[in-house]
Order: sequence, then structure tokens, then C-alpha cells
Amino acid sequence: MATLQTFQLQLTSESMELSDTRRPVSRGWWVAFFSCLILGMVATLPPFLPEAAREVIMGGFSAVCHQLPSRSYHVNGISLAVCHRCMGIYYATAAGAIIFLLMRNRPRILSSKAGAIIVASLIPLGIDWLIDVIGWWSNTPYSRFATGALFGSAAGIYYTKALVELFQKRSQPADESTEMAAIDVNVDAL
Amino acid sequence: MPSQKQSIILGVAVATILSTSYLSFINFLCCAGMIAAGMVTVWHYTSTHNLTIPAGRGAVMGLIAAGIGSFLAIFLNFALIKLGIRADLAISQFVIDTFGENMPPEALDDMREQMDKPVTFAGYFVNGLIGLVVSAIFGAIGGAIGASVFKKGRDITPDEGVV
Repeated sequence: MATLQTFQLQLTSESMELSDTRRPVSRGWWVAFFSCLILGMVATLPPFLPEAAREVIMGGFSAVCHQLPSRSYHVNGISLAVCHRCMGIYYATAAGAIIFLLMRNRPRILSSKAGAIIVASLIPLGIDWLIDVIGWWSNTPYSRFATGALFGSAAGIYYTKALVELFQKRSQPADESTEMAAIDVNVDAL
Repeated sequence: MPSQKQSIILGVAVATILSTSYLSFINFLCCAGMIAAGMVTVWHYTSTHNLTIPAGRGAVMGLIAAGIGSFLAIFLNFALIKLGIRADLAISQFVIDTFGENMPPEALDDMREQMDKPVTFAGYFVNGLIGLVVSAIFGAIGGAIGASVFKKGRDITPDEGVV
């Protein structure tokens, strides 16, 4: 007769990390995805708002973006709250959350190559900005948006990873010294 | 777990300085100032205590540092504006001088109108709060990146408190 036995297995943080990424989408992922998406959407709002509300939004984003009209998208002649590059960054951080979801079975790459991934994502952005400043080439809305999006994707991946970890740790009471998992195993009596 | 207060205070100082007056222009480079504040917070913590922290912990530390720094900068910037140090007018004038020829006349008029408007604390504070939310998010991003990059020693357990 089959008997239920409960085993407590001591897992290393490595194997716990692997099993975490195979779980369904966590609350942390949804927080990361929607916080990034909402940020981008708020920055897109100004052309659709009455003037008073538009001024508030524009004023709020003025601390984090130059808001140059010639380097911002427009709707009906009214510019968005941030420039092409920042818009690329904001929406791409939400895309970074999706990329994290697709890569969640390969957590090693994200952890071990973090520095390289971030630097690699910044290089095209830096080049696009620098050669425009020097005067070698005039960058375009597409290049600004695309290079911003590249960095935003990478930033979004690590932002999402952080929130997923944060919410998972809070929902799992941990042992004093190591992470433990209780697994119910149905075994046949020998 | 070692206290995070010292590292967060350093991060707050970096975020405040990089959000104040002319130095705040660094945030025009994709919020580089706030990302830097988050990364500095985590770098100081991991270097001082020879630790590797989870990305989630780094994100929280970065968020706190950038959020508090931006909040303090609201008051500092308003004080500087009232003292006549107008970095905001300087950038607007630079934009008009450099890009004014290519700007539509309506946009130029809007900018000049904004420059002439008196700055009230209520209006400035509301604008600052929106900037604070954006800054906090990018501080969290900086902290998450910092935790993934700055790995100095043993992994700390995840159940230990934040501050």
C-alpha cells in the first residue's frame, strides 16, 4: 500500500535558483512588467491631456530628460514627456521583463555575464550619442530609440530579476542558515 | 547581517548631489545619476563587508537611496531657485540658443513662456514627486545591476532584514 512520506531536502542556492525559474510567472514579474509599462505610458500621455495636467507631467519628467522638441516624438504637434532615447529605454525595460521570462531557464548567463551584458548594451548608445556630439554623424530618431531600447532591455532584465527574487523570498519562509524546501513525495512501500 | 545604513546614506548623498542644480544634467543621460547612486550604494556595501547580495536586495537599497536623494533634492533645488541660481533657465536658454532655429515657433513661445513663469513651491513639489518616482525606479535598476556586477564574497541569506 502506497504511503505518503514527506522528505525535507536541503537545497543549495544554486539548485533553488534553477527551480525558481521554472515556476509560473511570479508576482514580482508582474510588478516589474507593469511598473515599466506604466512609466512609458505616463511619458506618452502629454498630447492626450488638458494643458494643466500636461504641464505637470512634463515638469515631472524634466528632471530626468532634456525634452528637446527636435529629439522627441510628437502627437498632433505636442511632444511626449521624454526624448526618443528615453522613450526607447522606458518601453524596452518592459520588454526586458519579457526577455527575462524567456531566459528564466538559463539563470547562469544572467548572473555570470551581468557586467558584460550591461556594458555591451551601453556601447551602441554611447557611440550613437558621442559621434553626434562630435559631429561625425547626425543620429536619427530611429538610432536614438533603438540604442536606448537596447540598454533598456538589459536594465529591464536585471530589474525584473531583482523584483522576482524579492517577491519570492518574501513568500518563502527561510531556515536560519540555508534555504530549505519541503517536498511531498508519494512512494510505494518497499 | 551587517547594517546597510552607511551604504544607503552614501547612496543618498550621491543621488542628492547628482539631482541638484547643474549637476542634475547628468540625469539627461538616461538617468545616469540615479543608476550611479544605486550602483554606488551596492558597491559600498559589498566592498565594505565582502559580500555578495541578491539582486532584489540591491534593488531595494538603490530604490531607497535614489528616492530619498531625489526627495531631498526637491528642497535643495527650490532653495537654489529662490537664491537666484537657475540651472533650469540656463538649460532652457541653451536649448533656445542651440536648437531654436529648428524649433517650431509655437514650441519656442511655449519655452519662453515657461521661463517667465514664477516658480511656486507647490508646483515645483508636485513636479518633483513625479521625478522622484522615475528616479527611484532607475535607482532600483542601478542597485539590481550593482548586485549582479559587484560580487565580493559570501552570499548572504535572503531572509535577513533590509535596513
